[in-house]
Amino acid sequence: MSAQALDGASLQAVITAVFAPLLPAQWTGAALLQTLLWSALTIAAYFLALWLFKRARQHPLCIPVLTAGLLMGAILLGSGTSYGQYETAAAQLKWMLAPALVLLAVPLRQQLVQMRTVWRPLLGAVMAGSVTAMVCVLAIGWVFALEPEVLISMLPKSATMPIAVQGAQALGGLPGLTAVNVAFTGIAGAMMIGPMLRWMRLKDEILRGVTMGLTAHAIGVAHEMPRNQTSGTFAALAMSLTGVCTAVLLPLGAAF
Amino acid sequence: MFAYLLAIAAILVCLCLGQWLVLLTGAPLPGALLGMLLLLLGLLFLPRVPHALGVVAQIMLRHLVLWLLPSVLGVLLYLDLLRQQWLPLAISSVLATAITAAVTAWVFHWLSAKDGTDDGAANSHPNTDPDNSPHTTPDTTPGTSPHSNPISQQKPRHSANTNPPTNPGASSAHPHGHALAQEVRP
Repeated sequence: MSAQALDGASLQAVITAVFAPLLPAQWTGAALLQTLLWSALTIAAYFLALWLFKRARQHPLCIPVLTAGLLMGAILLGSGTSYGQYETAAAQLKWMLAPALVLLAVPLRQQLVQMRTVWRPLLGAVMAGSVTAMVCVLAIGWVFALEPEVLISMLPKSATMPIAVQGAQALGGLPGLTAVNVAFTGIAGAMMIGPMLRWMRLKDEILRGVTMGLTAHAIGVAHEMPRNQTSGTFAALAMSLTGVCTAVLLPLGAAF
Repeated sequence: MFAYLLAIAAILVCLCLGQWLVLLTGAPLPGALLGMLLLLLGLLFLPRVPHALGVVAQIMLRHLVLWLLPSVLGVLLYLDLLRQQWLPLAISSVLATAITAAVTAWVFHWLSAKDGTDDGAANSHPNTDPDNSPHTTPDTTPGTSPHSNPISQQKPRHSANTNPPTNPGASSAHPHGHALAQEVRP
């Protein structure tokens, strides 16, 4: 495909696509009211969850993603609001994720020196972890005799959501199942990894970050960032590498 | 104020360029990830992260969970699916996740121990945590230096860096701290 055909028009299309949730069409009458209501509720649920997490002395069963998610889920189900309605109303909040991900470059830049000292174990761990995640799913599929399309949907469990969903979809998986599996993996990882590492007596913050980012992807990064900058940064790094690694390995795993 | 606008503009430009690159190459990656790489590439050319960008990053990254919430709630779309496939899903998300995490942690530990005998020393935080980007480069405005790295947990390290009691000859403690971080790996 020639680059010329893509430059002017598509750059404009990209900009429109990127900023679509912020366009003025969203800011009138009933839509504005919905946006304000659901955004405010989500933000309130989030801060309530943060408060609870602090009150519970950071007990892994009270991690903010889980409590805030359960609370908002209950509100949505209770009020009979469909996820589609909620998604349009909270589009602005959801949009904030993209610039936040871009900003992960800042802590990465700040920890560059430290990164240079651990790149070998880091790459090794990312490879081993990505392969392990897939092998585990294949084993589960074998035990439960799952249908191939279910299995393919569950393969990319430790990648970030967009990579996993796109990858599974391209191979004929069910995007919904992938999304659910990825979200549950992230929440379970964020809950379990802290106690697990304590049990294994591995106290290193870099190690914690790498494990968190690899296993629990963006949810792990989000969990680590406010806790400790080092582990948060390495979680971000491991998440990115795992994303790429999974995208490459996925067709291989699906071949089985 | 202008610096903050510039920082926000830089982020958005990276985001758009990343999205554009994805469209151009058809890579199965999210645009934001490529945007992150672009911003990182840009930051490599600067001696240190600009103050305003650091502040914006700190605010945005601290509330990552909030930005993720609407996406996580997408699970609600698939409650039926959940009811049908709950057993494999539960095992996959609990058992497989635990195994993955254990293998990752163990491999990382093993490889970094193999890399040198200094595993404990190199990785004992928060002391070696080198946000030394502000310190390695001569800071033109020394007064802002404590703020120049806002994402870090500042209290312990900055007090350690600014008055090193064990090191009397070190008014130049900052380059020293940098050397330490690098010497750890032979």
